[in-house]
Amino acid sequence: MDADFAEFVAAKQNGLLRYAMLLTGGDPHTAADLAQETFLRLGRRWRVVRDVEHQDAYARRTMTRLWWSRSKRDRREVLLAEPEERATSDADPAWTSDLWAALQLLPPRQRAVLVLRYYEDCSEKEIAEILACRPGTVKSQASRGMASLRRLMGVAGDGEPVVRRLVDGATDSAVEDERAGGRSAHE
Amino acid sequence: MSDLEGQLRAFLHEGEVPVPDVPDLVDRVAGAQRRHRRRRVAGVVAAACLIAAAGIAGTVLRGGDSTPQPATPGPSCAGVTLRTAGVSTVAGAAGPTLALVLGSGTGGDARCPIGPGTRIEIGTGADALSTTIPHGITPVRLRPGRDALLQLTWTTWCGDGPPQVRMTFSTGETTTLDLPAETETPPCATASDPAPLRFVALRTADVMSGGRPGPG
Repeated sequence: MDADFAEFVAAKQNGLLRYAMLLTGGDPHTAADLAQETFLRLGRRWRVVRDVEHQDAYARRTMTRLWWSRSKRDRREVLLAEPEERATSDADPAWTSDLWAALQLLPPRQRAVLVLRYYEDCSEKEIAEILACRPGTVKSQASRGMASLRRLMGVAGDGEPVVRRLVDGATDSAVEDERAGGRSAHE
Repeated sequence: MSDLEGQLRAFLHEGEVPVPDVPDLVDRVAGAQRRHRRRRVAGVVAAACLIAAAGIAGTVLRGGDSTPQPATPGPSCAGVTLRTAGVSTVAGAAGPTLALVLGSGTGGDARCPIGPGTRIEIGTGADALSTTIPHGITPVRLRPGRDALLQLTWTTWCGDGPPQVRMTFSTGETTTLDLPAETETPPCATASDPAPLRFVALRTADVMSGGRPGPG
C-alpha cells in the first residue's frame, strides 16, 4: 500500500465509518466491512482519487454506491432475517435518539437515498446518477422514506411515535408491523 | 423544508452516531489489496491458460499442426519493394542472368520473409514466365539499410519489349517493377525451354552509403 494512501485511510476512516453507520442503520460489522470495501475501491483508483478536489464527498458517494449495490443484491437473495435479528439485538443499545432509531428502521435503499438527499444535499437527478438508477426510483424511495420517518416519529399525528416505544424498550405489534412494512417497502 | 427534514439534516451531519472502533482498518485494507492483487494475477493466468488450451484444442480438432498460432499480427511485406533489376546477357553455361534488388523502407517489417514460396513472374499473358524460390533456401529478412539480391537465369523472352517483373511474397503481398526500356532481354528461343526462368541464388547485401549492389 502506498504511504500516502495509508495516510488517507487513517485520516478518513472515522468519518467514513460514521457515514457507513448511517447507511447501514447502525450495524457496526457491516459498517466496518463497507468502509473497508470503500477504501479498497478507492485504493484501486488512487492515482485518480489522490487528485480529486473533494475527496471526502467522493469517498462517501463511492460508499453509497457500494451500499446501494449490496442492498440490491441482498434484496435479490431475500436475506431479510439477518437485519431483523440485528435490529432487535445489537442496535437497540445504540438508539440514543428517536430520529436515529427511526432511521435504523428504514429499509437500506430508502435510507441511502435520504442520506444522499440530506447529508450530501444532492438533487434527485444527482442521486439517480450516483446510484445509476432512474430519477423515478429516487423520488419514490425518498417519498416512502420520509413517510416512514414521519410515521415512526409520530409527526403524522396518528398516535404515539413508534420509535418512542422502541426506545422505551417495548416490542409490541405496532413495532413489528412497522418492521414488516419497512420490509415490504424495501421490496 | 419541514421540521423533520431540518432535524434529519442536522442529525445526519452532527448527530450522535456510534462509530465502531476499527483500529486495524489500515491493515485490513492493505491485506484486502494484497488478496485482490493475488486474485487478479491468478485470474489473468487462468485466462491465459484457458485461451492457450482453447487454441490447442481448436487446432487439434481441426486436425492441423498442434502449435498454437501466435496472437501477434503476422509479418507484412508491404514495405518491401523491387528497387532495381538488370539483365546480364553474357551467356554462361546457364544462360543470361536476371538480377533483382529488393529493399525495405524505414517503416518496413523486418520479419518479412523472402525465401521459399516467393514467386517471381515476368510479363503477363501467354508469354509470361514464372518461378518460385524452392524449399531448402534460407530465407532472408530485410531491415533498413540492408537489401536482398535475387539472381535467376532467364533464357528466353518472346514478349514485346522489356516486361514487368512481379514478386509475390509468401504473405500474399506483391511488388512490381517495369524493366527499363533499354534492358536487353534474352532472345526468343524457338525450341521450348521447360524452365526458361530458374532460381539461382538469394542473399542479403548491405547497402553502402551512396551506392547499391550491382545486379551482376
